Amino acid sequence: MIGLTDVVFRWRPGDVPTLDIPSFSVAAGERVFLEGPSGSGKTTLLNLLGGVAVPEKGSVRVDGTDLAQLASSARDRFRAEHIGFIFQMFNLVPYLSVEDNVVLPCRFSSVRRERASDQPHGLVGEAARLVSAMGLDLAEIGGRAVSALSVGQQQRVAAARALIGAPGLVIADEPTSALDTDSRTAFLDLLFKETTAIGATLVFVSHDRSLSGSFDRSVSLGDINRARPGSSGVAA
Amino acid sequence: MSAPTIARLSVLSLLNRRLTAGLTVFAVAVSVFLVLAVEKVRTEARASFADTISGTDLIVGARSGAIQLLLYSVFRIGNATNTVSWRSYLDVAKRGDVAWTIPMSLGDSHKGFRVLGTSTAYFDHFRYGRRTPLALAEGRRFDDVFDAVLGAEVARTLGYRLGQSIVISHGIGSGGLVGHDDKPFVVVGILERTGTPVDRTVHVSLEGIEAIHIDWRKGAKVPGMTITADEVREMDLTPATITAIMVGLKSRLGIFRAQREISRYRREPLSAILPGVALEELWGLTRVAETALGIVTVFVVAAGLLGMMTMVFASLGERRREMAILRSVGARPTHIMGLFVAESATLTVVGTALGTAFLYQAILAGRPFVEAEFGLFLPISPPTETDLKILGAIVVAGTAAGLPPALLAYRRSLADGMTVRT
Repeated sequence: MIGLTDVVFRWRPGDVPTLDIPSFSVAAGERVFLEGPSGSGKTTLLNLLGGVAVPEKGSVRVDGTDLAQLASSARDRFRAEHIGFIFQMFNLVPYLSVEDNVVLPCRFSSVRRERASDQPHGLVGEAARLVSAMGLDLAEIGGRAVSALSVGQQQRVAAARALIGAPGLVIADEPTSALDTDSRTAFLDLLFKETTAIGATLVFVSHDRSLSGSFDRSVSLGDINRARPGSSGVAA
Repeated sequence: MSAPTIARLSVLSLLNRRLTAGLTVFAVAVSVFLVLAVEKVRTEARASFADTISGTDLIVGARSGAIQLLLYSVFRIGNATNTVSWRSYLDVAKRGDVAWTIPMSLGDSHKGFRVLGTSTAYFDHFRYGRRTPLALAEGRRFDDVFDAVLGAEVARTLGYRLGQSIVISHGIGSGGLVGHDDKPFVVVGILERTGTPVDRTVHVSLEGIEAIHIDWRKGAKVPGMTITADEVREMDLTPATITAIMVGLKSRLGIFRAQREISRYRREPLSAILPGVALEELWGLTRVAETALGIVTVFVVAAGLLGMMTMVFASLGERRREMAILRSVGARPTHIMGLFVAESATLTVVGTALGTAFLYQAILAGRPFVEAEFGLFLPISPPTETDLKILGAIVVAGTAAGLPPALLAYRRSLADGMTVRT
């Protein structure tokens, strides 16, 4: 699903490289725990995988496509179609309803919209199904402003958004760091269950090693990245 | 695919910021209202001036500038510097190419309204607007020496009915004038509203004007000389002088010849003007003021749009995270840019619509006042082509005002990617 070869990235020419990854790959359907403390080039790697940034050298393949070969608008389309993201916090667009937030990727990818609409209850039904699959009661929270939801609820809505339309790859960046231990486990369980249900690959980035046990594989970004971006003072 | 999404997002985002968005829209609306109101008053004032007189080929008065003659004879603004002798009037009226004449004698007033001494030819030949003749709402034309026919506005403002006795004052103004109170007039007719200075005029016969001045010399009553109203009826009331003459020709083809010949009249220095040409001259004078006013309104709109731009710029910081989220779900940087341009466009369009609504509200509310104070009738009419051009230009300018913040958002979202680096 993911294949990085000889990837070098620096923010500005002449800077110390932020990333220098000779090789890193993730198999389709695999659940990978990527340990990335701050300063390890985590943000940069996510931007490369999402096609928001391109490497100076090397190739970034996602689902067989070399992102560096695509034009920027094609990379944006690719991201919309193939990848669901969950971030640490403030994942939701404040002025949209829960439902609108969940179906947002379908507004930018027709493939995901069609996949979601093909579900038994249509696009809106699928959004509702995912929200309740993530353990939320849509009848209770549906009418509320998303900013009025608790952090845990917001993260579950964000997960539903990442999953809608069955993208091949789900990337979660510290999605549980703002949650307490119990909710953390519950959130992980639901995330695993749903990514498995849609057959998606999961890359879970965290600095909390205690979570790594339930994953197929655990990788430390420090091990695959030869660059030491933290020493250059670039925030990651 | 994404254009409706972007439009919808921008509208929802604005609704989420109702207060600031609402104030911005209001500021734009006020500036739009101002532009439209200035334009409206300008065009209506012109139309109203142009509608004040029609069908009159020449106006003849004592030698003076064309604008001055036009202003005092037609618009009752200012005063004549000199008079026209009755003999000159007869010579003009006798010309072979003249179809009709209206003698006009101005210089007296009644409670701030001008008094016009004229003949019944006034009711037969005077035309305004689209060659509309005067019509009586009540009563009849003047016939007796002391009959008066009121303009609609005079009757309304002073609450006069037929049979009302009125005293004419010597001179023009509203206070401290000496009255011809020994010879009161009686209201015998009230004219239909015309939307012209006629509405603000008291009409009497030339003989009436002569009668009230018969025992006056040089603007003051002659001491010891008292002639009663009844005695005066027996006297010869042909005036010695009048103020101006409206002339209708048999054929408009001879208009310039007639003008030339009257202007060269040997016995007395006279001026003959074409009302339309004199109006054009007047517009030439007012154009500078109009241009200045136009420039001011342009700056007011610019200020409104700058305020909007400030508001959009100010929102950029707090919306950085929102931009990153949109990028993560597949929005392109151009979508982010579109979001901000759409936002400015929406604010401007709503502001423009609201400003237009303000204008019609203001016309409805302010019409009686403007009409009473300035004699200007403001009709409720659909926006003119010029109005639409102005509105279109404002919408274009407002959308363009969204570009600088949109470009900044574009550059930031390129740099931020999907995560805000703080």
